[in-house]
Amino acid sequence: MTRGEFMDQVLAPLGRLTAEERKDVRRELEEHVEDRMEALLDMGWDEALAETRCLEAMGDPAEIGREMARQYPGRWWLWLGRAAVVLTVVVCIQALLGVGVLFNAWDGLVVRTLRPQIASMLDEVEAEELVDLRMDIGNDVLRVVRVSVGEAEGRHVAEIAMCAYDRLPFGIVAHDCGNWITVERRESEAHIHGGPASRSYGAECWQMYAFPASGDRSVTLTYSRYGETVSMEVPLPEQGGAV
Amino acid sequence: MKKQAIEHTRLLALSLLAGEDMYGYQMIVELARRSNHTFDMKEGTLYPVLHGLEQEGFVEAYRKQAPTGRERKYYHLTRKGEHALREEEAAWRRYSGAVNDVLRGGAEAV
Repeated sequence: MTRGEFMDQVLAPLGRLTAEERKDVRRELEEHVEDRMEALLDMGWDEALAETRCLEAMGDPAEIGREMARQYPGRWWLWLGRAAVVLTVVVCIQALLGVGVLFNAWDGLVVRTLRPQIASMLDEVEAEELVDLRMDIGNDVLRVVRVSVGEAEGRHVAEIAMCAYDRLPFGIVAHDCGNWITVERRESEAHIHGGPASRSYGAECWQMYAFPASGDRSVTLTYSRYGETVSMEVPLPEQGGAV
Repeated sequence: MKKQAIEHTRLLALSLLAGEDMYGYQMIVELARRSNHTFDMKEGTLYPVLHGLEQEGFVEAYRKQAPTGRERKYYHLTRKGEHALREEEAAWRRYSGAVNDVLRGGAEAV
């Protein structure tokens, strides 16, 4: 039996003790073995043999554990304390779920780290490319996740799927940030706006549309609010590319 | 028999601590020295006794650097512990006196 196994056997019946008390018991017994070991090593004993002798001299670990457990009876207050902690955690989680804080945090996490699913509204997709383009807009971040070109209502359309999330991990995204974004053809000023596809306080996802002319290789997203204007070039997928 | 052995250990532990504050290993060494190695107890069984005495308020524990330079858990006899020691000592003397009386009676009869 090793010293660790010995200590584990002593501690096994001490579940009613606090973590601090169990740590204290273990430390005290280990210190005893350490002192006894040192005495034997000074006498010229081999280290492995000395440890075996020390543990034998300590006695049956299970019995020590049982006797130790008997010294700590009636710890009902400890269990009451533990139950109170569990109850508090459950109540807190329920409260957070109730006001949607956890859902918001989850949505924010998904749009910043994963690839959120945003449905395509195109009747026919001719080309599609998954991208990861990000741009700071105010206190939030705009992330373009997919660019598609295809047909919608008989017209040639570019669809840009995007999300916005707060820069802080558990922050709340500006609910109307999408209203301040425009998408433009590179060669002309024509643009079409889109609406939110999904919305929570933690993240927003939506699609925007442009009508690119033949030969357009990109469109420009522009955020303009409170005197701040930032733009991002979004390349269009090659026709005949992966769908 | 086991229970009685532990009660004896209580008395011995309280008695050792009446002289000075000690830590567990030191008590075992001191016990062996004073009893000329008569009490060959399993060393680990001392600790449940010490923790029991602490729970009852007979001893208080604190950590201090031992002469070896390492920090150890020392036990200190409280006033309540001193009172308990006097009572247990008296009970032991009554018990051992009675055993001696019986032994003397047997010896005289031989």
